[in-house]
Amino acid sequence: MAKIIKNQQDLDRFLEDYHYMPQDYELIDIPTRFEFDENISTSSFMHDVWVRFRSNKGAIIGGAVIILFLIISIIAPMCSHYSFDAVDTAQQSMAPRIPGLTWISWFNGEGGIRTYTGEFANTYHYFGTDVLGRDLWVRCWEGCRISLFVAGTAVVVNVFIGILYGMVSGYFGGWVDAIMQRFQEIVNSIPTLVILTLLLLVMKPGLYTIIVALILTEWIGMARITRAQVLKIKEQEFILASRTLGASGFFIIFKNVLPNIFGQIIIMAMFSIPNAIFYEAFLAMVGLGIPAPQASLGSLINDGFKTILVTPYQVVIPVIILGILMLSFNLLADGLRDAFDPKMKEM
Amino acid sequence: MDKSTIKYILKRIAISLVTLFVIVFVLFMILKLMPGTPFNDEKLTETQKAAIYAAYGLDKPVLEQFFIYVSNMLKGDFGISYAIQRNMSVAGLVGPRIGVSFTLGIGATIIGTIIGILLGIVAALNRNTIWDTIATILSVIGVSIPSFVFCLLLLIILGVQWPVLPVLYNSSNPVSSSIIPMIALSMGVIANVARFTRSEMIEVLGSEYIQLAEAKGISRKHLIFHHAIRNCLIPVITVLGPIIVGLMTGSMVIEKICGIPGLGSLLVKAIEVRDYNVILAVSFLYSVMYIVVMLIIDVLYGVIDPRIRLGKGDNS
Amino acid sequence: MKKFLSLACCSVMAFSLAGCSGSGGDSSQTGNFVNLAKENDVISMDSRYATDGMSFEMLAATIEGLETMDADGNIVPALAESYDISEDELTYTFHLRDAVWSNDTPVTAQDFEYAWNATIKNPKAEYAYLFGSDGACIKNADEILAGDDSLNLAVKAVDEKTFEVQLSKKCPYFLSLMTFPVFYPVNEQFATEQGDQYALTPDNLIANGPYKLVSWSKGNKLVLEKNESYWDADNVKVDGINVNIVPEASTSALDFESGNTDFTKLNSTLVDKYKDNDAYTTVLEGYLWYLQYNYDNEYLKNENLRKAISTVIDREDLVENVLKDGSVVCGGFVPEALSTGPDGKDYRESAPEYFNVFAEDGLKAAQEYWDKAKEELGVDSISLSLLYEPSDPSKPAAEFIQSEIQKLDGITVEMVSQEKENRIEKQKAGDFDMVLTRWGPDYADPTTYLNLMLTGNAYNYGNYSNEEYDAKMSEAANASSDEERWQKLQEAEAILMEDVPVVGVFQVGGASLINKNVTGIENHAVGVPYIYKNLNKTN
Repeated sequence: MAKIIKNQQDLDRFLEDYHYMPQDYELIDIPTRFEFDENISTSSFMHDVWVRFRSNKGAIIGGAVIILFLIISIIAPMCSHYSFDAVDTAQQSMAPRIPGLTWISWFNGEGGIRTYTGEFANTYHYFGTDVLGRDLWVRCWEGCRISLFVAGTAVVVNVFIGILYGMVSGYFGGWVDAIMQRFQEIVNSIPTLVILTLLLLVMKPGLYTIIVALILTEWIGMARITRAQVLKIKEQEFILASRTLGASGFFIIFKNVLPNIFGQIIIMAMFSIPNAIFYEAFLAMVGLGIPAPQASLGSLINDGFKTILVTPYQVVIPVIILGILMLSFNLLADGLRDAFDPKMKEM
Repeated sequence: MDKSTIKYILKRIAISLVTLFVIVFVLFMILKLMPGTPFNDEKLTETQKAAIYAAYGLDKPVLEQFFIYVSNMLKGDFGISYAIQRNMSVAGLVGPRIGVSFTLGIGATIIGTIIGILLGIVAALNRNTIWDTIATILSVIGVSIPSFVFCLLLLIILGVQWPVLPVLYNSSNPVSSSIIPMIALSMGVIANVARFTRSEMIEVLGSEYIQLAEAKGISRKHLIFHHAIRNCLIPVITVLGPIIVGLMTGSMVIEKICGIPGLGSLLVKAIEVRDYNVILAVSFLYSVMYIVVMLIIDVLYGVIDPRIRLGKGDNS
Repeated sequence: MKKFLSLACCSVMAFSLAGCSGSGGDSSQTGNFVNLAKENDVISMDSRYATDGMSFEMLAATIEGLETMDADGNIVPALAESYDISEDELTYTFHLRDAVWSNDTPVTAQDFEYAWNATIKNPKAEYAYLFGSDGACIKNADEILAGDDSLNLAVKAVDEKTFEVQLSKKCPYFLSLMTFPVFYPVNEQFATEQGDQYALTPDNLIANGPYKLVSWSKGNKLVLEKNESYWDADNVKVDGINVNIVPEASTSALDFESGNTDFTKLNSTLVDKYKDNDAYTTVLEGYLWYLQYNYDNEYLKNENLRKAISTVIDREDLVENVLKDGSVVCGGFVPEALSTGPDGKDYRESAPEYFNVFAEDGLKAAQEYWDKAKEELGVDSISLSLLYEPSDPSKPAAEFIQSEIQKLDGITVEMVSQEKENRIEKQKAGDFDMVLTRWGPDYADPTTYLNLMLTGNAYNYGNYSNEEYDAKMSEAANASSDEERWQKLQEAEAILMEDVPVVGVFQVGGASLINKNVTGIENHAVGVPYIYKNLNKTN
């Protein structure tokens, strides 16, 4: 790349698309002399993030478990010969029974209301059945898929709205902040159940209604956290530096503030997933949720709770699935948090 | 507190009063939009319903009803309950429940915060070790086991298996019967506080002033307790504030399970049966608390971290 | 920070210390008390306003009316020692016994006259309609309800102990209505003194019944103590009743296990755990859950489709395996244990059972109806919505009904779950195809149900109309003898079940746990759900 640098303009243009490579040992084209201790290859921010993320075992395990659960929740209902809505009162509340694992007392199919005798001697319900005799293995995974979809979508949208709202409110401060905070207070004052009842007037129960309901009510928490973080960050020196260099408000918000508050936001987002899942179950109770007989993790837990004194497995299994998912999400979140933290570079 | 802070607080209080007025207005209008009626007997005919509405003044134009409500409210009269405790004054209905919910909420917050901060610090100081993982698992369990399941487990263990605590809440003996619900409620707090403390602590420990202090040879104990904790408290307070408000205004599920006459179950019941005045009063109370707590938090930012300046927004 | 921590530690310690000293329940109470766990709190202790079962129970425990019910559901005298009925059955004269209120003033005929007029003239009193022709048929009641304030009810306190009531038309179930709390007396002087505070707290209440209310912690607990001035106090065997409000059945079952609760209702999921327990009992409640079809739906207009759906639901399977709480299949549109006919038999015993084919036979019969319906409608597949409320027992029943109906190839059932308040609104607006709804009886007579399906009746949400049925019902109303009336009512039900605008699905059962040492918890399908006068507890 023989280029003639004649003036400052040329130099600028050259530097703009010049990439330092480790094998660069000397730069002869440049009129000024540089001295290097060492050449560091440029790598994009996202590349750094990926490298840091990859080295975090917990995060990888977390991510893998989530993907595994996603795959099972899609495949398991397809492979099973039971249907999630097949009511059969002859198979009510049968305890879990897994072929090959019947030597473990939890999976030998004993302790339910109906037993695996007579025509059901060769039947296996891996997670047992519910009070209407529906297979819980299928229902749990169906529910898992629906819950993941609902929670995932809602959380992503909420994070988006919340971050935008919180950052604008926190960064600009003054009357912008005042008005936005008052608006938030007013919205927050209306009980969720009231909003939901009104929503029912205009929307039919279903997946998208649930997501709308979640978005309408859950963004406030995210906005609050973001604003608090921005308040903390915005008086720090590097923001001042950026401002002195003439960066615009939105540039600072997205380029300087956002990467620094990412950690808290991710944690908040992860914690709002079980909230969203339970919330969906609550919606099912007021008639906004997934219409019966479809299931979600939340509604399975709610229904199972009613029988906790009789057949505890009906609530324990979905709770365990939720717990594992949550743990994975948190491990993943920790990994992401560390990976996205710009200050981590020096470590 | 310096003068500008006081001025800022006064200004915020003035704004809050206006906000509260708007809130009452919005709530009032929204409640009128809700389908259904507090007189929800299947057997009520339309004519009879009209007569009941007229008798309670619910047939007047909505704006007129609103001004009557506000002028009564300023006199301290929050109207009467239509459907929960027929004809009882809302103040008489809500009043005793405030104490119940506050006690429970504050108890749960204290338990949750202490355990949560400890867990968070332990996790942060022993980052990426087994202690960190244990703390993470503990706090994740806190958010993923629903509080109602946890509460019922406690009732089974401590109420029936080893009967040391009463199963039912008893208003004449509130202390011993509040312990189980308090613990159940604190689970969510523990989890939230622990996670946020951990994350903040890690950030603070990595910051320059801590490194400087470390370089100067300050003992680790002194460093953590005098420098780090204070700085990681801000976000914790931010999370905590709304949680406290939420807890103090009651948790519907826990109250239902333990039979606690708190605000949460009252609000849900009131919405279910469309008891307008009760919904308004409880939501109003919640808003007042929320606004006050938010104000306190905003002021506390300044106290805990002097770098944060509020109310001087136009500095960008 | 240090301060905060130490403060927090102190408070935690204070809590736990107080906890240690305070455990062990309510020790201040001595005597023979029965502990009941109830789902809901009392809404009103004012007999003029009370409309719900729990309020009725507590009112009936503290105040007596003219008549009451014994354990078997027979009408027996309470405050009225005896009564005379005129030849034309339009005038009832009650002779009151010597009874006193708990503030030592005598119970007089004026207390009834005042209470009844105060109720019907008060637009806020929801059950005022029971005085009119939908209920007791008291003379002038319909006019007053229509807004004529100049009139008074045709009831008169002839003297302190004689109370005379005139009816506008014959009312065979009048005496059974006298057990209903809205017909209870109110002491005028006391009520006027208390003004708008009347009946809001124990201090603003007086009793004339077996117990008096001594404490009422709203949403948590009511305490009743024996009323020593009750006329029949000798037969009240316990010192009092503690009523704990516990909305969650699992919790009250746990408390029963811990030995603190003597009576609790169970939900159907708990039945499996306790059905072999000595304490387990079931009773039959009055509520009938039924499926109503909307005649405005183009498909449901078809009789064969309605019959197909009504037949395909295996209601026996539903009550035995899904609900399990002692609910029973309803063989028509009038539930069991509601009313006794002139022959001394229960209405359902003498009336035929409809749609009583279940399991395989039911499915086969339903398939035939459905095939006919498909032909008549010229369709292969249809989609119908089912409106229901997401609470027990409606939710499991609705899910079961959906899966049953879908056994007929080509019918898809779309589930519309709406909480009760919205369900009723939607019903009123006619916004449903099929709805699973319920009705509780107002008085012990089949007409409390059969009237619902008259053309233009406010609760005839499906807009069913059949002149033949209306005619039969009015024949019954004007029948010359009780036997003829009964006959006409059963014929009317037969017409109804031929048209199937509604099908009775199940009558609610109450599974409960009762401490073996406790007796005298009397349950009734109509009026006051539980009467506690004869409670007894042996130790």
